[in-house]
Amino acid sequence: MSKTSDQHKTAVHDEDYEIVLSCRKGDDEAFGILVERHQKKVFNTALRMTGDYDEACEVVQEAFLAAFRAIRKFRGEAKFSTWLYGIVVNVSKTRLKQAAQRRRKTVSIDDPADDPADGLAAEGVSALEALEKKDVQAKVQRCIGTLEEEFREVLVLRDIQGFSYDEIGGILEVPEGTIKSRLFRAREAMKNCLKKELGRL
Amino acid sequence: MDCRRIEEKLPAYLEGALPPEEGKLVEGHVAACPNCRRVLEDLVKAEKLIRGLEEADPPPWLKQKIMAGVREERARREGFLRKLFYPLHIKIPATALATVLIAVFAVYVFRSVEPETRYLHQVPSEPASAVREKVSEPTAVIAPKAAVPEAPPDGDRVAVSAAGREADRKRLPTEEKEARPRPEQQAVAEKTVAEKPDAAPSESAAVRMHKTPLAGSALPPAGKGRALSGAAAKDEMRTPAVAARVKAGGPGYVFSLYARDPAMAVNDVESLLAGYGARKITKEFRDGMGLVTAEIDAGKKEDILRKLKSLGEVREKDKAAEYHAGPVSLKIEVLAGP
Repeated sequence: MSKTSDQHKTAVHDEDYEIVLSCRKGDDEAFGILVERHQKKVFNTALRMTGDYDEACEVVQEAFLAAFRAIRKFRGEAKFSTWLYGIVVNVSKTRLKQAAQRRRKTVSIDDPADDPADGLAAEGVSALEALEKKDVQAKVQRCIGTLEEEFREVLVLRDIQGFSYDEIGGILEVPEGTIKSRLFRAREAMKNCLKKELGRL
Repeated sequence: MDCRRIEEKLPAYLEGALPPEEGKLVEGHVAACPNCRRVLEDLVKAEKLIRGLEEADPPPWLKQKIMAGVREERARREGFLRKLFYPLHIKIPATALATVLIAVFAVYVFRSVEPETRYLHQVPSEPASAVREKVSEPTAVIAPKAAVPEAPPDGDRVAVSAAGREADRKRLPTEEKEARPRPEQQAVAEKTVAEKPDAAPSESAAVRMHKTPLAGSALPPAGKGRALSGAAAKDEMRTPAVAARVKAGGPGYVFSLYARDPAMAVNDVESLLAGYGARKITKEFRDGMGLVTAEIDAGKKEDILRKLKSLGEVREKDKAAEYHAGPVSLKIEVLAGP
């Protein structure tokens, strides 16, 4: 962990930092550049965390607005993206809890993870293959949805978004060892779930 | 080591995160155990499936919506600041400051318009009196109210005229600079009134004109002097308006000459004035009293006065102002003196 934090301090290069400084001076359009840069990855993180397209849109808006409000508090100890994904993960988890509460109150008709691959185009593949691929992706997403939050977040950040352990440690503020053990358990659970869903791998 | 414990270690093994000894142990087991090998393969395939999840594109409106939220947030923050400061900290001082500025501006306008409005009441010609009526009618109600705070220049003048009208003399040089042909001045005056029918300046102009009948006789005809003075004005001065003013006993000097024989003195005065190039000389003698009026050059006044003194005792009746150049009227009463 001490190694991790040392790396944080020395990892001063942040291509977002100058733009962040402009934002802090009141340049709202500079914030637009940050949105442009990060929205796709933020959106996909939110999509895999929540498993719902519309919910992911809400998460992205909420997370960026929260970042805008708090940008004066961002001091550049970590990279802006690390700070931003921390917000995204937290907003995602908050909204998942709220959604769970809503579902408990009203009788759920369909699983929110049912149709996660909306809008995923598979060009150049036959319709059947596309359909199959879509089906597989939906099942993968459904399996992600079965994971406990603490396993889900590491799986999404590591295996889907490809963050380094160091970055994930910064985003989640969890030691690297913990991240790894959670990740291995998450993969194990995913393997079991997918085997159940797909019949065979 | 049984298969269950090996399976638990497989994800770490795949990641290369096991200590070397444990790694070798797992490797040996997997090579020998087809069941565990299949689990390992499933794990690899599962990871591939997870990594194979396609990236979705956010909707195109998402950024716009975020930025709209950002602007809203900014507006709300500023709105909050406004709420914080506006009613108590800024609004009242701003209102007070605006009021003061308006007052200062009004006084400034009043003062700058004053020289133009001053002579309005002194113009006996038709258009001027028309203007006077027009203005005084609607402002009659306002006049008394406005007269109280706005009157100082007027009051000044009344006071000064009572005290020998020193101030008027001092004011003269600037007034001379503004000397203009009469018709033009009149036009300017009308313009001033027409342009600002409701503004404070016209109110004060009305006030001024209202006061005129009261203070008129006591007021020194400064405006007239200005109108009559100035080298550029010489020829234009002989317009009917000026003639009318001279006839009305307007601006200029009024002397009383006490002579032993007024009837003789009247003729003497006439020839004296004629000798100094006086124009429009009129002469009257009735009931032992004579009156000679004329238009003279202001510069010759002292000379004329000196000569008059040789005819008898001279008293200057109206010492309102000194005129240094241009034509002024002169009125000499000739009375039976000691």
